[in-house]
Amino acid sequence: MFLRRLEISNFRKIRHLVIDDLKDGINVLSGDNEAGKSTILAALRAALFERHRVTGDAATAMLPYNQSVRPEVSLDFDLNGNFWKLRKAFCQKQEVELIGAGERHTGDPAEERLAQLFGFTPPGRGGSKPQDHQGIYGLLWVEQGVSHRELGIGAGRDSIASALESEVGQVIGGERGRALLVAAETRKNLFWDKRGKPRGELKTLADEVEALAARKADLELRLAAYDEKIKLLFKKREILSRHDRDATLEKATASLVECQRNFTLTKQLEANAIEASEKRKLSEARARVIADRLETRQSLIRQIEVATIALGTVTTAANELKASFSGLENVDKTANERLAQARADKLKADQSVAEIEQAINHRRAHEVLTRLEQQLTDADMADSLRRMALATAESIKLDQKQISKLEKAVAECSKVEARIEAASVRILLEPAAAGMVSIDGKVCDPKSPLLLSNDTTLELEGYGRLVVHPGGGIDSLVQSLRDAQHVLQRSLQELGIASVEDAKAQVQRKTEAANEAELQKKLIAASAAKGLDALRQEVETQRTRVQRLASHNLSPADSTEEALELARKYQNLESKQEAAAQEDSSRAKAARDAANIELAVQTERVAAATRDLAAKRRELEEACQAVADDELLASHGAALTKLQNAQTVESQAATALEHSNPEAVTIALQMAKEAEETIRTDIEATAKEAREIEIELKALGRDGLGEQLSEVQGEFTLKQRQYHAMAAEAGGSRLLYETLARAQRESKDRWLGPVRDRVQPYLKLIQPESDIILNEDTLEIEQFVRGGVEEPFNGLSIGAREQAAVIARLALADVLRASGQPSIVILDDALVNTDEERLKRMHLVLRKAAANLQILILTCRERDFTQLGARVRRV
Amino acid sequence: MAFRFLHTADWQIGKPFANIAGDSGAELRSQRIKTVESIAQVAIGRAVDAVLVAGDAFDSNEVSDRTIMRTIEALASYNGSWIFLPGNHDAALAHSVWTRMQAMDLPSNIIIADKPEPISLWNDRAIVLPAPLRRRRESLDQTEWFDGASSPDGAARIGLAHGSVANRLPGSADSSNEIPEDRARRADLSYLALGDWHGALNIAPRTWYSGAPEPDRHKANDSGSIFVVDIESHRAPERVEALNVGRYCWVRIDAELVDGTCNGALQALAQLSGEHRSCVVSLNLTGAVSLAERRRLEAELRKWEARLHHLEIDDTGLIDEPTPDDLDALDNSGFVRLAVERLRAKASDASDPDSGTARMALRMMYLDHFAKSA
Repeated sequence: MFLRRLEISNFRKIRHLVIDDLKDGINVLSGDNEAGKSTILAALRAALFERHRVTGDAATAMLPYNQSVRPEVSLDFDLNGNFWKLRKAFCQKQEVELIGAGERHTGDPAEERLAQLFGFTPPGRGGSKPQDHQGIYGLLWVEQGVSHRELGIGAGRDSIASALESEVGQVIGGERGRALLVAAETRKNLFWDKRGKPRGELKTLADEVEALAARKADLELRLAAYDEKIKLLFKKREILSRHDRDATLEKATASLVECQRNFTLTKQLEANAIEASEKRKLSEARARVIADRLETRQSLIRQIEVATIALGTVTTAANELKASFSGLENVDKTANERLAQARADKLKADQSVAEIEQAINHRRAHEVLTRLEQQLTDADMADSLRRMALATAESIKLDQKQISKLEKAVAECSKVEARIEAASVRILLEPAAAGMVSIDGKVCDPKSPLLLSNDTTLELEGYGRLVVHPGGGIDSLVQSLRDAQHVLQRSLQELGIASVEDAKAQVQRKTEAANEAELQKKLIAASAAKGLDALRQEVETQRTRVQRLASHNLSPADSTEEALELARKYQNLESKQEAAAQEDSSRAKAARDAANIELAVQTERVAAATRDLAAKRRELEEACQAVADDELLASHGAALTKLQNAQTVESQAATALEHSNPEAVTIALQMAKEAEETIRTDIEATAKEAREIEIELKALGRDGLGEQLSEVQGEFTLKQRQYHAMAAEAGGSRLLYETLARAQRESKDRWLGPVRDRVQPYLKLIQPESDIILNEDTLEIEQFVRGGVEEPFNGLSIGAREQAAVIARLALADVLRASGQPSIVILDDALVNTDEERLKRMHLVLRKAAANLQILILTCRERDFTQLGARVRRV
Repeated sequence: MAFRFLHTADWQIGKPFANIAGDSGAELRSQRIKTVESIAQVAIGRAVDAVLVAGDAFDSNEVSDRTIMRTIEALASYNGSWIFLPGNHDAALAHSVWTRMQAMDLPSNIIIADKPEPISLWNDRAIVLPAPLRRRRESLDQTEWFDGASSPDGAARIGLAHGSVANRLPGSADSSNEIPEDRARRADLSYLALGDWHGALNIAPRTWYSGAPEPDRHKANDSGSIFVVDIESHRAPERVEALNVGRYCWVRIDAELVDGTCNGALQALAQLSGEHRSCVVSLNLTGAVSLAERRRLEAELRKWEARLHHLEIDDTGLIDEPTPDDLDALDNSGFVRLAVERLRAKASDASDPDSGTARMALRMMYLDHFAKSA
């Protein structure tokens, strides 16, 4: 359904108002407070839902304050593809006209057609109430100030229900279904607690069954023990009666008495045997003592005989040894003499060799001495020459340095002279005839030119005097020459040398002398490498040695190497002979010594044998004096006879004892004793045990264990049966409740599915992961779910409530529209409690809803909706 | 030379009936002593020479002293001979109810036949040959010695034994302590008084089970009586008269409900003979019923429980089969329908271990539904 045009006249505070060209989607009507926005909604309601003939408060409410006019509302709208015009006038000259889809209705038929078109129930009489009479429009048209309240489904419920059912079919169980569920839950709660554990009677019964089972088990155990005791008692009695029947104890006692008698007899025989044995042993001992004495005596006599023979034997051996010893002594002596001769021969050979060696050595030493002496002479001569050369060299003091200095002075003179010569006046004399020229009286050789370096007066014979005055500074050169000559003269004087040449000759002489000394030194070194003194010492030493070796008497002919070789061979021969003699001598001495020792031993043996024989003889003599031989023999015979008698008695006693078989008698007695004891103990103990068991059983019997067990068994069976019955009932109650509850839950889910499907996209725009839960019966909002937490609707903030409510209304409007029912949403200041941010999102919601729905927004806050992108009309 | 005696057995005094709750159980228990008193009265009234109790006078050897004492008191009114044979429940063990009884200053007319020795108290008119059990299960036949037992000329030879007669009892009977079926003939007995089988039964020539005087189980046998036996002479035919002394009637009803209704069960109950208040009934229900019938059955059974001394119901074999009508009676819309369908599917799936529970749940829903309607 889409509203297209609205015209209101004389309705409450609106005198006349036309709103036309209403669009599909959102239309915003803005006006200040008291401008009459809400009146527009009231007029719309009046036009659709109030009968035109309405009177009373409803009619009065349409009139402007204190005026009596004719309120009139005209409405153009599209519905299911048809265009309709509705016009209603109230209070005075009431009328109604509905035109559209080729129809025209007036009066009550128009009202009926209207109710039919919009699916509402017109009120019987009086004013229309949104929740009772206006169908879904009570839900979709929200008046100012109630948007945060419950949806107020009211009369719209059926429309919505039919819309939902058209989608999901009928699913709700109705009042009876709920009653069944309550009954099932109540019954289930009788048996089960919240955690699903048994409670109440069921638990009591289960506990009782368990307790009875335990008691039963206990009684069974006790009864089994009781039965065991009875069996034991039976066994004990059996044992006792067997003893009684077989007279076991009496038999055992008789047997014991018999055995004891036999035992006493055997003991007596045993004593007899022991006594006889003792007597025999005594006789035996006495006979043995006498026999021993006899034996000792005879033994002594035998020993004396043996000792006498032994003495003879050792004496003979000693004599033989003495003879043998003196022979060995002679051999030893001869060997000694031979050894002395051999030693003397050897000594002689040694001396001969030594003498030849000395002679040879002497000769050689002499030769060495002669050579050394020659060397010494040569060296001494060289040394004296060396010394002379050194003295010469040392006597000349000049050295090369001084020579150089002299040469330098000479050079200076020469240099100055040369310059003077160059500067001097050269005068060549070419006298005519024999005219003579003299200077200062000295005639000048006319052949050699005159060089005049100073004022000179030449006497020219024949001529007169010629005075020459050399110029050009020659005077100073002459002076320099004089200085240089003076220096040279002084150096020569200092050195004591006449001239430079002389000096050079001296230096030459010095060098030669030094060379000579060096030469002589080398010569000395050749002769005496270790020095003169060493050589001299060596000569002395060698000389002494020669003297020492000179003490032999051999001629050089006898002291040759051949003679030495011969002497040595002889010496070697002698040495061997001496060694052989030495060996013979040692052997003879050892033989002699050994014989000597043996002889000493043998001599001692003779002495010992002599002593032994004497002692034994003495012993025999003493024994015979104490007891004579005859006497001893007689007493030995008597002892033997006595022993024989004792042995006979002993043998008889032993035979008697053996006949009585003492071991068998002892065992039999022990056996009889133990048998009697065992049987007696067994009878006493068994009887005692039987008595005790009887007493015990008597005490136990009083309690009537069997009766108790039967009772408990019966009770257990009964309780178990009761428990099983109740458990079945409890199980049934739980299954019933769970099945019903699950069915209901699933039905609810299906029933409200379409609403949820439509709510979700809107919620997603304002708060993702939230949900609105409607009551499946009232369709009111029950819970708002945010982040998985359920909050009751009334517990939400006002802003949240109005947002949730608007979304729920939009969703329900979608549901209605989808089922072909007319739906238009009118919100009169429905989001005044919504904050700015949320409002922006709510705009998104409205825009989304407006894709399919016409939405009229009445507001006094135009600015809230300027961003909505819808046309805003000001009222 | 005639000899008259009462033959009884299997009193099983001390049996607690604890599986029957409350007063009903207690009354059953105390009744057993009362029945013994009745037997004593019969013995006086019929002037018998002796009362022979053929075993199991006591439920076990381990009954309480109090129970023994009460029993001795119940015997007191008859001062003739009471001859008690130890049976398998009260075997003459080394220590037994009998040794305990003898330690209680037992009156001399109470004779415990715990040895296989002839009892001769009636001036050679009769001798009693007892075959006491000295174990709960004897491996050898205890009656064998009867054959060689001598007796005065003309004296009635009465055998007294406890056990099952070979080849004669129904297969389910206990086959221990066997007694040869021809023992009476072989031992030249005038009468063989037996105990162990709880129903009255002439099982072989001159061989009788008296049965238990007070029934104690739901076995379809003839119990609740004692025998008055007359032996005119040693080989004269025995005259046996059964007297009913039992107070309670134990009945087992097996009802299979096949027509979907509970009528079968109700009719069987209606056919109960005797006083309802003396009836101990075990009702075993099988078959199937609709939920509506189940509801009716339960209401009716509550009434029967009040009428009878005790009603024990085993309906584990009775299956609810909800009919379309039953389910239509429930709301057939919305989630209830869904739940019913699911429960039905579960209930009818024999392989589902919860099928029984599901049936129970359906029945509950049905009952709830009517409770709400009411």
